[in-house]
Amino acid sequence: MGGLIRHNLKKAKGQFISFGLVMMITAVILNTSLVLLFQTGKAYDRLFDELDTADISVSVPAALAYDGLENELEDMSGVSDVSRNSALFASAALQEFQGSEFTMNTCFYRLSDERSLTKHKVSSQAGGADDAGAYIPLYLSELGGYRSGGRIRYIIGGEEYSFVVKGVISEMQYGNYGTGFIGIYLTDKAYGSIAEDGNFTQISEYLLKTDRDADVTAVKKMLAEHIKERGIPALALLDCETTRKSRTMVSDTIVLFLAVFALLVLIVSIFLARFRIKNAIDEEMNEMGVFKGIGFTSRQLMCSQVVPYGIVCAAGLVLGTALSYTLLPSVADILAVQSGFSYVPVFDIRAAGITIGSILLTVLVFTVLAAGRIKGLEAINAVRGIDPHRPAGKNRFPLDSSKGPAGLNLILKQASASSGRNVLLFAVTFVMMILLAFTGVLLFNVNIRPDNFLTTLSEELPDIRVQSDEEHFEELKELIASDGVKAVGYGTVMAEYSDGSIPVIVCEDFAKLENDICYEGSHPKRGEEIAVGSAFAENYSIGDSFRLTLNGTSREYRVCGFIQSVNNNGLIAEVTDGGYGEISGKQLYSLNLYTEGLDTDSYAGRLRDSGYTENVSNAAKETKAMQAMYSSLITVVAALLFIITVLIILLILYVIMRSMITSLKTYFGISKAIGFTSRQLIMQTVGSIAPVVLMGAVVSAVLGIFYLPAMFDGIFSVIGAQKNNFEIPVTVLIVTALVLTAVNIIIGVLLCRPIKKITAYSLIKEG
Amino acid sequence: MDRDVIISARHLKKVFGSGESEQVIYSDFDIDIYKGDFTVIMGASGAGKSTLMYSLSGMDKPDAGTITFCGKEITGMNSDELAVFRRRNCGFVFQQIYLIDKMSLLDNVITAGSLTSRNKADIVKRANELFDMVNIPDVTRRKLPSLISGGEAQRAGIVRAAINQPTAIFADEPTGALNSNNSDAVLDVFSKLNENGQSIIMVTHDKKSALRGNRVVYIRDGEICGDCGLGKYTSEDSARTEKLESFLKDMGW
Repeated sequence: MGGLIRHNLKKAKGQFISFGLVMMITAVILNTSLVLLFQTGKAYDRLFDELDTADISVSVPAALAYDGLENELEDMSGVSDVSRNSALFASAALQEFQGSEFTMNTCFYRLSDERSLTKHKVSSQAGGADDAGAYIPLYLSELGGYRSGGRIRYIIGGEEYSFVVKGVISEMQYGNYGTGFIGIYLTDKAYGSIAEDGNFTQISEYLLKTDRDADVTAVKKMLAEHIKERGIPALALLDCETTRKSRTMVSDTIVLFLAVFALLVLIVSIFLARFRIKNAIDEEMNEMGVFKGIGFTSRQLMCSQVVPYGIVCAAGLVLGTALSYTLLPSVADILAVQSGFSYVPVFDIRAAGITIGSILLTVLVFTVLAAGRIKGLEAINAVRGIDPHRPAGKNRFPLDSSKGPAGLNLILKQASASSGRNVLLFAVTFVMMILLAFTGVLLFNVNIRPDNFLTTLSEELPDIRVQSDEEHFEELKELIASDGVKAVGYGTVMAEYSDGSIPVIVCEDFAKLENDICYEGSHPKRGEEIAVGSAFAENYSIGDSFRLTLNGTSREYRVCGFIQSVNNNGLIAEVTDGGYGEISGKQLYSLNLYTEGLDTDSYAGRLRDSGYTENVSNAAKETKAMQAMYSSLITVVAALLFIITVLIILLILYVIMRSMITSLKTYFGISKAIGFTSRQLIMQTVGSIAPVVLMGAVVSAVLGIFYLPAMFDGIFSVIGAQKNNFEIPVTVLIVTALVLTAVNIIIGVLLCRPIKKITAYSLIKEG
Repeated sequence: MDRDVIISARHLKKVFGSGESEQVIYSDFDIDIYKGDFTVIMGASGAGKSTLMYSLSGMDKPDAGTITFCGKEITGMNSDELAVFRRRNCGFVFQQIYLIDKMSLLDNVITAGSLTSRNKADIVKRANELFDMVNIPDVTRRKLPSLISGGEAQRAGIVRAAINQPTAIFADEPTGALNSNNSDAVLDVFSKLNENGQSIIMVTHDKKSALRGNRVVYIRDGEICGDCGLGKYTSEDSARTEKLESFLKDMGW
């Protein structure tokens, strides 16, 4: 029995190696996704606990934070501990962020302040801690490209502030910008230099630890009401769940994507194993007859076919699982850029168990089912090469009556000869096409039509943002109008709602904007209307009342629609300038400009020189930088996906082609004897797979028109974008289908080279 | 009378294996094959008959020497050039028949025919004429090889060999796997083809088959040790039979 298994393993060594490699790739992908799934959240929680991070944090103007507030908060039901910090807050335009400018709500903390909650740890530093400088989160360091020893520059209130980057800091509150806030830790000297600066708002931050069994959301709501009742506006109000969600969002998306990828490869692998076993039974029927004749049972023969797959599959899975640990640190590093915290993935017995166990079991079940045919083989029929359960076959595409040249009909004959092979090829191509179509459409929308991608992820994308003041605003507008540049009154303010504070977009006319982020209902048109973010969709309906408070003034708005905002996790709202005026008692003096063909840099310069502005930012440049950042990332992902796809196709086609060449050896010998050249036979063989491959690719491409929007909708909804602006260009799908077919054919031609070695004479010698 | 030589082999050498296991099949071997002849190659098992025949037909390559086929030297050709050469000049009939199992008999023949002609109608017409000649009815022509008798399959094999009107048909023990009735039917087809001017080179162990030839070459230890002219085949000719028997006796058969 062992000898028979070894014999089977040796006989199709190359094909088993291919199958093992496909299993290995599947294990690498699945184990990676499972380790991330099991460990990212845990690592987050571990660091969260290690740094005694608060469950809720609220930032209020320091001037309004009276002495007894801390005790009042501590006495609230569900609160176990409260700590108070001082900080400086500013809407800071970060310079040279990936070569551009980004405005972020930034909290500047003093590094040396004693903290009992939401502690931080310096993970890397350059030079002594006593010099003037800033410790920045990993998010800024990696994504913005600020390195230790370099400088980080801000424009705040029209003035420039520059700090030496002293190191990178880990903290679990404002460590990435998913919450809409970022935290910077300054040395005493640096903090001291801005502590009294009027461009910064002095804030008091209250950090709350809740009881173990407390409902964090309920406590947050109570807290919001408590400070509102005391007329204190909340500049920021965050809970740990929202923060966690925003910081593990990309990781969750990647886990989902990898798991689906692994599942698709697994499906293809099952088809592959079934195909190979069925072929082996056809090829070795005589041998099996002899084995049955000399006393081997069906069960033993089935085992001799199935066990090699079990061994190879297990070996591939173990190797793949082990290999995934060489890949995981890099993946974790990439995720750390977005999540703002890093961890080293460690061996996970549960992930390894699921990866190896579930795949091995699935492969064994399907291979046993495929090998079941051996049971029905009678020794004498097998020796004669007859399987009574299989029909004799048909002479498909008869050459005398079929239309077209004989060569074409010969190809079609071969193409229709094996339904198992065709099903496998179709499945492989269909699945690979899903991956490539996804990649192709992603590349198209990031590189060719970047607006589609950026408008999905962002709110409005003007060319220039300009901030003025009451005194110069009208003159500025006149200047812009005289230049023929489109301008829309637009700005964002922080306001409070029942559970905390949210950014509120204020616009003079939402119809004039170029990125429609409303996915249900409509944008506000009147002062009493409000559109709210997707995070509110669960608790509010169109027509409901929604209360906003600004500087102690409140009013009820009527919900007229829902909008999306990836950056704020759907915690956002929008009102008209009239609606804003009713709670603020003033208007916004900021504009979005759409320069249409003008050089934004020089036009921004012109506005700065006019003397009518407080701040002018080249938003087009920011957008370009953001696009370049995503473009390079997605191009790398696309290239990786393409390489993996080609590798999988190569491995699967290797098995298919080897099987074909073995089973058609006699055919090739006869054909060569009667005068076919190797080239003709190679083209015929590759030609016979081409129709199925083309069909698989085209069918998948056509269906892509339907499944791709669903896929992108699903992915974007995970990150908070209910409406994506992606185009599914038919041309891209067709080109991708043709590329996939071409890749299959090229690989097919290369794998068919052994046909050259088959000689007409070897047929006679072997016969 | 001068006769046209279609194949001329000079100083042929063929060796199997190497070193201690080296086996010289033939060495410094010369032979001429004439147009219109039904040449039968006989000899004991292992004498090198089939090896010689496949060398002469360009299916296998000799290790040394030259083969000139219709004035063209084929020994220097690569495998694809030989394949193209064989299309027009050689037809093959094998002991194991080797029809393509997923194709009907007709398709097996058209496949070979399509290599030399693009006119499918002409190929089908000629294939049907040949099937008529070998007595394979229309219904059988459309069956797969696995569904017909060995005799029918071998006759279809002959049709395939003849479809391109080759310079020579090479038959390797064509009746070796057939019963007596089927053998006769197959040999009749060869005789009929030869009557029509088709050159045939056949390897056989069978005296009855050898009688169909007009020339019998006997090979022993890689050398021609006898070459017997039998004259034209007729079904009732005891003198030919006696001549062949006497020749074979002399050869130690």
